[in-house]
Amino acid sequence: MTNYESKPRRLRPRPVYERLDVDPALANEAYDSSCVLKGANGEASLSWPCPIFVRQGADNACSEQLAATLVRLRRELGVSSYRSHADSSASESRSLAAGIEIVPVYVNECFQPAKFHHAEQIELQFFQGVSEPNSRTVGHQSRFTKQRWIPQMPCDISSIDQLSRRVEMLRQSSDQQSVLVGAAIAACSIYDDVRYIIDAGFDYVTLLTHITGDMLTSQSLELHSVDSAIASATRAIHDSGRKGFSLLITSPPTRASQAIEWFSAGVRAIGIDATLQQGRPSSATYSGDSFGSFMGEYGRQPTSGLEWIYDAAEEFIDALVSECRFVGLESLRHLYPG
Amino acid sequence: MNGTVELSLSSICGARLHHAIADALLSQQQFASAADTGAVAIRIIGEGAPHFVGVGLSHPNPIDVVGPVGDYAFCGADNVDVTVDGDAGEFAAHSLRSGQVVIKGSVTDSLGSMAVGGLVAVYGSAGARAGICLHGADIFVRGNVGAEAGFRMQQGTIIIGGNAGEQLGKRLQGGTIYLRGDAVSISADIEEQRLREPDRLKLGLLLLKAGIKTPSGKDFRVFRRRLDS
Repeated sequence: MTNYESKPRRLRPRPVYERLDVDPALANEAYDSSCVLKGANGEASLSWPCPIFVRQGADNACSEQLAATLVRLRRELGVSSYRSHADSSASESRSLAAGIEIVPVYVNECFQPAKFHHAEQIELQFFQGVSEPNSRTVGHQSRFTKQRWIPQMPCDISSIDQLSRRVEMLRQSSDQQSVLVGAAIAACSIYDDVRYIIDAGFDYVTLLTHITGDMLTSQSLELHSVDSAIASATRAIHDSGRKGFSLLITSPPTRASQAIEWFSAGVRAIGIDATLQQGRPSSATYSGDSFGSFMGEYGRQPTSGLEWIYDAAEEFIDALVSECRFVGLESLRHLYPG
Repeated sequence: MNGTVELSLSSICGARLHHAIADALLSQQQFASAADTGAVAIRIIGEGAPHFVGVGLSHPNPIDVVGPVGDYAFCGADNVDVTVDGDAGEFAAHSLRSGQVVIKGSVTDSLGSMAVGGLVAVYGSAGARAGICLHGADIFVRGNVGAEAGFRMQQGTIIIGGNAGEQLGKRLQGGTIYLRGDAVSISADIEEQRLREPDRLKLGLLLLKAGIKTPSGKDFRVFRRRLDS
């Protein structure tokens, strides 16, 4: 048993005699919580202002109100998010303090060049999109089950060479120099899947250990235990010998210190949809739910705004930064192994 | 035609072809006004079969590529009129949206996969899985096609002028396959149907569009999804 198979290491807080440089007056200054994702060739890299992302645009249908909230999270808090299904336009220009807009591509989705023109990060989803009909899921669409996230290969790909050329094609389709191409896969056969993804030339993997449904519901699915998923994935990355390959996970940390433990174990960024969902006030629900008929579905509008999503994200980031400061971490980058 | 603009693939990145064409047209004043009218011919000299030529290209002017192209040529192209005077690699015209791509040589595997619209014509032969997951485009291959042509095809038409390999139409869900020659084996997912007048009309039109002058489509057999499947 080697270190990478063990549990995430505990952080050793800095002793007080090492904190001579800490000026209490600086405590309110901006904290460097950025993280860097590196490309497969070691040249390209992308800096995220905050190691937090939200998958709502990719996993669920996104209302205009939610899309606006995600844009606000990106611009004001630096939380990265996914472009929603309906939006096929090119990415808007962003400031360095804003989060990344990740462009998702689904396995059996036709290539739409306009989506990728200025994309900084493209992610191939190894499962079907929210709007794609599937003979296996017909009749189960309204249910929130694991059915949709069954890992599957693109229908026209039959070898790893073909997949690596598809990755290169996606990379070439953007005019950004440092575009990263990643893979999102439900945590299932983690070691083998991560090795395959690394060998195919992806830059990073997003492991869906926890899937969150619509923000206005309490739907969520636990696919895999986070700690064992991190251990398997980091072991696969280590065994592949690939330097700089990043691991992203989606799971709700119960406390900020747990998120820091995951970072120290090799996770580069965390999807916090479930954490945000837990911050939903009781008044935030669909107005049409009580009718229980198709007419109820017709006018599904949230009864209150989505301000609470912003508040919950801000609260989580504040807690994370406070925890980092408390244990004496100069920046989050100091946590990442390698 | 108002004139011809010539570009060399040795000096430009194939995936940035749309930028290179736009820059070339803008840099030559006499073509700037005709750039969007389709009145200027674009001639591209290829070298060494570069990959990803014309990915995401959308351009109304006729484009003539002299020489072979590599994988993913004209992938996701929209509103194009392209002629490739040479061979093409895997996934040629993948996800084609509209327009036509004519390849005068042969192509390797997965021709026109997931293509949504437009016409892909190949005057040589095609490798395995031609028209895989076809979403509505028309594919014409003058020569032979490899195994599993029309695999998981959903909509559209595949016209095969020569012979087909094993498992023609495997897991086909929709669309039509016209075959002139023989197939090594035909998948149980499709069945031969009687060639009707609409089929003949459609064949004639598509063959004309692909640049093939043939009196009728009488020599072709038509295959569609098995009705009881």
